[in-house]
Amino acid sequence: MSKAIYFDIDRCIGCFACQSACKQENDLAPHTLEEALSQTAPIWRRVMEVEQGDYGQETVSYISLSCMHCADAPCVIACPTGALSRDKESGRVVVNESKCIGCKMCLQACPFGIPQYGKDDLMQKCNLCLDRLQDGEAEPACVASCPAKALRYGDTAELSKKEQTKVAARLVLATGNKYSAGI
Amino acid sequence: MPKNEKICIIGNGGAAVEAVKALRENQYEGEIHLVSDSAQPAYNPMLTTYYVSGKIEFEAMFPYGCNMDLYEQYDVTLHLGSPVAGLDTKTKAVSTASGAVYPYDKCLVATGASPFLPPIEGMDRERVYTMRTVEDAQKLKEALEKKPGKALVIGASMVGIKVVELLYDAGAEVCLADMAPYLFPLAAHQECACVIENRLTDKGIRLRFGAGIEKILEADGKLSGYFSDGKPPEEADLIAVCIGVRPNLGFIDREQIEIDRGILVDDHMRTSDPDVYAAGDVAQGMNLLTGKKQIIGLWPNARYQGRTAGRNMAGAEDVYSGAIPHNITHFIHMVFSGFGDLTSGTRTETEERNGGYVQRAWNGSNLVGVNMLDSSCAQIGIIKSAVEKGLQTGTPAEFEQLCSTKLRDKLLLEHFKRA
Ligand SMILES: Cc1cc2nc3c(=O)[nH]c(=O)nc-3n(C[C@H](O)[C@H](O)[C@H](O)COP(=O)(O)OP(=O)(O)OC[C@H]3O[C@@H](n4cnc5c(N)ncnc54)[C@H](O)[C@@H]3O)c2cc1C
Ligand code: SF4
Ligand code: SF4
Repeated sequence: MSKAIYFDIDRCIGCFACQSACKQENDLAPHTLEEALSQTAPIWRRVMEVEQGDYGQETVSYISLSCMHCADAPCVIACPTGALSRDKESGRVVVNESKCIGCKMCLQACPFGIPQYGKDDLMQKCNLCLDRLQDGEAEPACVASCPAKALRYGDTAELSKKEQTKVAARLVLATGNKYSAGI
Repeated sequence: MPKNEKICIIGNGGAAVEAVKALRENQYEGEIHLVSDSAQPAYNPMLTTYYVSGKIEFEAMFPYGCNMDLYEQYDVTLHLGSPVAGLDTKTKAVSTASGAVYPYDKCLVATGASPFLPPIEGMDRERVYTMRTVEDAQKLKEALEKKPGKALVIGASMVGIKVVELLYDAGAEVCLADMAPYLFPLAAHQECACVIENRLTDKGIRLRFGAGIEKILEADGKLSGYFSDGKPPEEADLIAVCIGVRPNLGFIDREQIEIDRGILVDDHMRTSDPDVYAAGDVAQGMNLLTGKKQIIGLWPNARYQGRTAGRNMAGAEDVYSGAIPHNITHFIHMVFSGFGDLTSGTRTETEERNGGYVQRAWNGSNLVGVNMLDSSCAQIGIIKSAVEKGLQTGTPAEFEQLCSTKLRDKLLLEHFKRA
């Protein structure tokens, strides 16, 4: 059964709980601002600030972004070694670190800037909390930590197309055409 | 599709294997004959340098597995160790050098490319190497065991720099030469190239640009590379030639199938003959940035093209509208990435921050090329995808959106819009 994480921009309050929960769950080292800017400390889930409206009247929204586990993932095609693969059953795109050579082909292929590289130069990213769910937890750490219920974990077939479109439309409306990315 | 249908695939690289997979995944039940000159399972040429340098094991050069399981799983009849010598579209048959003939209903040419060796004296000398095949890798690896003191790499290409790196790591004194006046002439802007060149020079790698190789002589156990600048020759124990590749299409009859530099294909990967397809480094498909057909010799491009060819041969309509030339390469503690053509713009701009480096080339409000170094490369996928998607859908990404980190958010929205 293929499952995914859904994000509702209307509910997100920009508290960064998901980003911290992700770091904690996956044992990712805390990062300094400098490391974040130079992208030398891995972040698997990132919260970004999005501004809308004219100066003085702008409203701020937040987006929580992680690997989309794309159905036809460009990173999987780009990977020269077969280190990246998509498990049809679960819908997860996963890295086999023992096959990764750190060539960064995946970084050039991913439309969302998701691939991260640790000190070992090997690719790492969200695996939809593979270990955690195998240990019997019901949801990925980010979803469980979200106080505003902006992140939802569910069956891809369960969330109707209509609901998905509605969520997406609100996301577009809320962000309008003025943007700024916080890290 | 009838079960007695025969599909013949020539070659056994990334393009060929993706076609095999796409055929079976789209319910093609007929025969698949795969004819290839090498006897190994499919390997990835870009992994050769990693093997030579010892970063990966021999088996890891074969991304689909170092055995024949895949071909069994997909029910492929293999004809390995059989170089193809002819393809006749009138009799619809492929013939090999040893005289075997394989009739086909549909045929895919996926023979890739081979290193280009200029027709000059000395190219056939024993210690002159190229880098493409598993055999090339094995030969160079053996040569490294003899600890070459001095090495000359000809061709400041993406392949050339990886060879420089492995020779440098092996402790050799390396000289990198190219006819072009600067590094990565096809991918980098001179300014960005200059930044990299300075770093290479700091590491003790010698650069000799702006002169072409004219001959390679051998005396007293030393090779000497003579260049067109008339300056003293470059002495070396080992020479690697990495000045580009040429598609393997010697067996194609130009009267039957249209060829420019490579085999011309449409967005279905079909050639001028409706029953012959081509994919990968041998095929000349669309460069979305220029709107012209060009060989784009990249691993993902070969796989996408092979997959599209396979789907269409199986009767499942699929379109691959094209790609933009792009690179990312990781060498001697640096990362360079880029796409497009930095010389085709009317204006370029450079930005240096947080230990990164970005250079963009614009043609009016259209982004036509990008170079990035080190940490800036974190943005390359986002920008490349934006430009590529824009060109594919006829809605070019605009100047404002491509200029800054604003882009990341914009893209995110695009994704949700399409969801
Ligand atoms: C050192 C190096 C580094 C590279 N780095 C990168 C990189 O960083 N990123 C990137 O995207 N790409 C890179 N590439 C390019 C990439 O490897 C190729 O674009 C891609 O593998 C092409 O796949 P293909 O299937 O078209 O060709 P190939 O993999 O070359 O396969 C061709 C097949 O055809 C067979 N064949 C050839 N002639 C005949 C014949 N007459 N009869 C029968 N069979 C024949 C060959 O044996 C082979 O099996 C690199 C290449 C090299 C050599
Ligand atoms: S890393 Fe990027 S391309 Fe790969 S599945 Fe995740 S979002 Fe998609
Ligand atoms: S960095 Fe690793 S996972 Fe990414 S493309 Fe290269 S080998 Fe594959």
